[in-house]
Amino acid sequence: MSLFEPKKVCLFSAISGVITLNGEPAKGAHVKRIVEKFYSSGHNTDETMTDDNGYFELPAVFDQSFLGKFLPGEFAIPQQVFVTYGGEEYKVWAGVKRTKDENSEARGNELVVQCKLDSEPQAIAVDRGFYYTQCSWGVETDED
Amino acid sequence: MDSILEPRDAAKFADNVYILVETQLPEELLAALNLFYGTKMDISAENITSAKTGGPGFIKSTTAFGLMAFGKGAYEGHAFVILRGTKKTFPADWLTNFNLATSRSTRGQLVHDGFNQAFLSMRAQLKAFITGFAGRGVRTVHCIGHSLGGGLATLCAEFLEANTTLKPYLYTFGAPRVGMAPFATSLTNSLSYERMYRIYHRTDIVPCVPFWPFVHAPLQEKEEVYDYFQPSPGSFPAVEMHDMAEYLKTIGKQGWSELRGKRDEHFGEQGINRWLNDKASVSFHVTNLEWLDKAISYVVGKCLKAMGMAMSNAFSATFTLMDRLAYILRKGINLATAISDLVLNLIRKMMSMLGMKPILEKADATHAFITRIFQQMSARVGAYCQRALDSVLVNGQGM
Repeated sequence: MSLFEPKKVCLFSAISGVITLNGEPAKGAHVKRIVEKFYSSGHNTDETMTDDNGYFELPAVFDQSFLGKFLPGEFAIPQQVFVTYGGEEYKVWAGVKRTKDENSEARGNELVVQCKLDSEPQAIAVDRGFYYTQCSWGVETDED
Repeated sequence: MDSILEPRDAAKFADNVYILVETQLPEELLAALNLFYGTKMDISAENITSAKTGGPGFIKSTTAFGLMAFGKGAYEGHAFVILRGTKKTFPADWLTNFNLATSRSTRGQLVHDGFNQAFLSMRAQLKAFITGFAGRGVRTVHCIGHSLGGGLATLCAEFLEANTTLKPYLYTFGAPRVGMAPFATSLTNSLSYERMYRIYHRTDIVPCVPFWPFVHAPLQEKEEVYDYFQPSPGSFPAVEMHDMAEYLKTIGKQGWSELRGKRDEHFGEQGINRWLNDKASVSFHVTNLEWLDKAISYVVGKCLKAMGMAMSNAFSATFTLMDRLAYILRKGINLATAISDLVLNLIRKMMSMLGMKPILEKADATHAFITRIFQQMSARVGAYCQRALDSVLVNGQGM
């Protein structure tokens, strides 16, 4: 790490995947992602639309800080993803990311998800983090 | 059965409380609590929503988050209070410009007002929680927290001890100093040090603050009193060493007896005298700061004893701390030679740590001079913390 390089942490890894409703791709669904910052207050919001296959992708979100803004602190980042489709809003993802590394949501693998708007949300623990979500990404969950 | 938690379980409880965040909807909160605590504690929707009116549940105030719950299964008859601060990072001004404002704890002892205010914001919920103890057959209470949460857990333990017939177990990880010596003494006496599990990394910066006269409980006045000091690399604080992930790593699967007794230094009377009498110059690093801390405590105690004053009366909220400290030490210089020499050696030691030539005669150690040395030391500790924080940022690790 060079002298003037800021400390960089990953708030939400790059995410991509397919959104469906009753087995059909959710075409042209609006995807909004909100993630809280670590080094300052406030949050970062970005959005996209799904294509004809219900596919979407969003890049990784980072936070960084230069000298003086770094304090001992526990990394616990609230993440939310909302999907608006057919006039309904679905909260498909409520997570708390607990490690600063990229792709920690998927234990180091790319975060490629399948989200079913008609499914019941599942609660899982991954890498000390917590995800309450309608998406699945085949990740191995934490043992008790 | 009255039993302690295994270190790993206590650490996981303290760590998992960070998955409770402000943005969670009630069903998300409930799912989180069930997933992380549900096999060991009674987590029901009723408990969560009843938090406003009393009983177990989710603690949410402007300054603190936490969980109050009754155990189940292997933990039947246990009650848990698990806390964290709301801020993601430890407040900067608490590390660097020590706000020395104090207020009275449950047992009337002087404690850091910042921690106390946070504790008071959740006290009503804690009171309501206690009312359920008899009905649930609670025999054992555990107060658990990391960082600010550890400070709050300490105040909760004092409150629960004072307001129930139970003696809580207290588990803290990288907690700051909550109160002054009389608070630490009082808590150590009422809980007993065997029930206090204070785990901290040597180079975690948070347990270094606020600087003296704030001290940790259990107070290590007697040889047999121990804490759970964990050696960590380097002699300079590293912010990473404050992370719960590092504490989980350090603890691993070790038991309490394995985690105990890992320090090389022995802060007994002999050791402190040896450190004070050693003429070699001392550098400003984390081990010497700990020695200095113990030495100030020891020397002030000696002065007060000779003056026939109790520590609890020595520090009222009305005097500025540095001023009061200087007054006591100046008085000490006028006492018997043995005490006078101790005080002078202590001040010389501080001068040495501040990079000054430790040449000091009895006549030069005026009240004003001692006050100034203390102020400089306090400012230096503040700057030291800032430098430690900066260095982590620049290097990605401690110096």
